[in-house]
Amino acid sequence: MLVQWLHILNETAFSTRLRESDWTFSLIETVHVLSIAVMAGTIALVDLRLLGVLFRRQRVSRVTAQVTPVTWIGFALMAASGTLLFVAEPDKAAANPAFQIKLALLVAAAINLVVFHRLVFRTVVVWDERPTPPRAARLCGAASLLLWGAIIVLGRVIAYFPEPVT
Amino acid sequence: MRQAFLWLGHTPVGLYMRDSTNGFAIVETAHLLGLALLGGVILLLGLGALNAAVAGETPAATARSLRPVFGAALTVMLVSGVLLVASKPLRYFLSPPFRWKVALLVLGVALYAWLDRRLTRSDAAAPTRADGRLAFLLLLTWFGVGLAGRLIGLL
Repeated sequence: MLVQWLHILNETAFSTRLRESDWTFSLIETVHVLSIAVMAGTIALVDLRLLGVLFRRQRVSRVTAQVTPVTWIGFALMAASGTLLFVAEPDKAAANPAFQIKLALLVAAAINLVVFHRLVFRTVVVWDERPTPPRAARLCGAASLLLWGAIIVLGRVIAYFPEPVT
Repeated sequence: MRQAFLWLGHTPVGLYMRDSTNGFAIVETAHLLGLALLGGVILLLGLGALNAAVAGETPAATARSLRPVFGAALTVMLVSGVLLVASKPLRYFLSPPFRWKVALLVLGVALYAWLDRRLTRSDAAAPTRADGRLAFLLLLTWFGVGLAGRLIGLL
């Protein structure tokens, strides 16, 4: 069912135009790479604060509050460009194991974010000024660093998988 | 200069990078990870100097905190970058976007060092207007580095 829907999407005029364009696809790809640098880079800085590596004398809540708007701008651009890249080649992307793992890791990163904000960050007033936050916060920070690192790696690996034979 | 690029391609590392798909993929990924971290650091230093990041932290303290991360990310990018060049030295040597990228990279590092020095020397609570202008130029230059990097593969 899903495969059929993806194939219908693949055959739409919009998808075909994106796929066959000389510059549009490359432009979207460029926006995707640069927005990942903005988003993952700023996330990494918050993670490093949670791990007690950076901004140790600064309140965690302040670092998070100030960096988050930039992260969301990066995320919005990354999600929009990523969706367009998928729409350009839905058949090919969905069949790519690296893309499938990347999607699973994106879900895991989102779960990690929800866990951090719903469970760990709720008690931030208690440990806000600690140079080294509690173990739960450090775990979320480490998981986030690893997950986003792996997402970037898999994004590159997608290009190294051969196209499925149709 | 051309000879130096060709020599790099004929070193054992250059030959390995040319012939190994996995080696190239790993180094390219490391380059991208370095870029992501560097992007975050530059954004934070730049926005700090534009008075838009990490409230409560002076721009000087932000700059000092970011220094080791900038150094580490830049090292990863430079080492992986040289390895990528070693895989196809002549192609990079003849690529106009590669030349723009190197020029912008040198300018970007110089601007970063300049802004870092200004911020840490003054130790003021708020950045000056000149710091803001320099930060804007820094962000623009590094955006250019990223863009030129993408164009290498396209042109």
